Amino acid sequence: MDKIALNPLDLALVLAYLLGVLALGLWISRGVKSSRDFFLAGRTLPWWAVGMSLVVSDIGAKDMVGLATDGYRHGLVMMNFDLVGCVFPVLVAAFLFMPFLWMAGVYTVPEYLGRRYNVYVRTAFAVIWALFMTGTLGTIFVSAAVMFEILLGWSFWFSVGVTAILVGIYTTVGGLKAVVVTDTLSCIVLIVGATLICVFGLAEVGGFSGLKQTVDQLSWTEHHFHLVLPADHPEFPWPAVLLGLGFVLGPAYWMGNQAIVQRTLGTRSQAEARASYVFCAVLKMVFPLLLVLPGLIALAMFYEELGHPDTWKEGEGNMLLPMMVVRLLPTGVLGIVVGAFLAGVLSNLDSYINSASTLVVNDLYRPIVRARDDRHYLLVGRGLVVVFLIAGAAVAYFVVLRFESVYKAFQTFMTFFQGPLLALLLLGMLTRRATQWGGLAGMLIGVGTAAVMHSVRFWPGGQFEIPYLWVAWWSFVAAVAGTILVSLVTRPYDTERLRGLVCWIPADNEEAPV
Amino acid sequence: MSPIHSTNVLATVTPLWATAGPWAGKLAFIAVFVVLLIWLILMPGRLIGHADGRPPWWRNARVWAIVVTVIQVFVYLRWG
Repeated sequence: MDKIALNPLDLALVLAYLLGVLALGLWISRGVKSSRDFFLAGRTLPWWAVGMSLVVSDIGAKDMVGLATDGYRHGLVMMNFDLVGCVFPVLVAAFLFMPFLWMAGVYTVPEYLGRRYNVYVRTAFAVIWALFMTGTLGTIFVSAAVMFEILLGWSFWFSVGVTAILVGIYTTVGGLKAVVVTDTLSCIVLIVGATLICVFGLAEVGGFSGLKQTVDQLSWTEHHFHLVLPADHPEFPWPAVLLGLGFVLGPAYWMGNQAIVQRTLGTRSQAEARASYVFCAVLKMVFPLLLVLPGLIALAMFYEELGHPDTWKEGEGNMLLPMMVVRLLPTGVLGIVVGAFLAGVLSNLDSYINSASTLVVNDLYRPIVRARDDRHYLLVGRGLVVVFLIAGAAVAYFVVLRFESVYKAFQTFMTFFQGPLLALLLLGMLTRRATQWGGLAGMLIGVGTAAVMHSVRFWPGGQFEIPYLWVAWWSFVAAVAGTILVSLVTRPYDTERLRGLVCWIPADNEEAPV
Repeated sequence: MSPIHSTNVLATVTPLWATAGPWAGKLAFIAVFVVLLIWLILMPGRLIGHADGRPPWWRNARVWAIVVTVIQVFVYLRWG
């Protein structure tokens, strides 16, 4: 693999970006005086900043590298993760759920579930998310380190150290506001960087028609320029993509992931919460092309050298994008693109750290250690940022030993809960009849269904693996059924108790009770 | 349900989808966005804070959401 020797201009651009992020983060941090400032940015965030932050919080280094590799392997079908898996649920959430959650005045999604159902549901989801976020931090550190080793020649621990310290400084001091404002800068750099890769790549392969012509000549790429694949496709059958991704995983992610939802809760008003999600959908229409197209370009450029993806060793596919960058981009442009990689890493990392801290303080710590003054919770929140950075780095140590398998394990772990989470959110917000015990039962039945479906391959005589998109769909269906059935035989909360928690029972006050 | 049963159920379900033909998938994806489009157009203004009058189109989130959805329909129509 070629290594980059960044010339002074590129290095200066990368350094300027890093210092710019740090300075911006610290400058923004001046007004943080309370836990509300720290966790929800004092509810002062503008819609456009939140919209951009939503986009880059979703796209990390692993996604940039991974989507290009998947674009090489599968083609345009990967864009579904950002189209039907993002644009569709984001628009539904924009008008149905996010303004409502904003009005509920909660800090976290588990807090809403706790108010709507009971403390068991809240605690279970808070613990699950905290564990998942810690694992995700480890994978972000590792994927960043792999990339920076190729692009900048940094050693593993140097890369972990630099990213942790940089993100740690402005996230500890500035909280959500610093995270969102630095994310807007990252979003701009990311768009410019990804566009430059596509522009230079397309120029190299003779434009879009040249790209299509070259890729179509290969024997195994008949579906590479289709978003919808046949129903019997082994990995992305369209019914599973539509039901599992479009109706379950996408909505669960965009309505239930604390790292995503939290920034919208920090907007100035309901209208701005809605606008931030719509702006996110606008930006998200462009991103799938910017991230998947490089994979197709790489297929046209390097197929003779790289061959069929089935012949690759573990982790070899992750070299694809760095390889393109090294060979394709001229001086100056290279610095911007490396800055874009850094942007993806920093924005992903700061979002998860800030949200993990918010989650633990509000859903696990505050219910136990009550009635302390606000400064105490602010201090604990800041301390947890450091704790999560250290925990993430510790997880990274284990992740790096077997990256692919550990990453998949975390993703599998999460698919156990996405379906039930969405079921509880939907039924909780849309019906007054869902009871606290119905919610608990639905959660357990949904998770149990996912666990059984995942374990089919280990059963005696089990010869196949059920695609995870199907697992998500059926665990959602099971959770809905379980919640409804148990709710029918248990007593619901009275109307006053549900005020502001169910869409059809609005809160008395116009302002949220934060 | 035994593993053998679960295998049989899934093996039966998959060909059911497959018999629908390649156009069915494209149609289903487009239908999702068309339904979303209709919902966005018909949604009462009072539910999205327009009770006191409609904002200018460039500040109207509904207008932008409709534009995005129409583009999605064309994307799946062309590349589905």
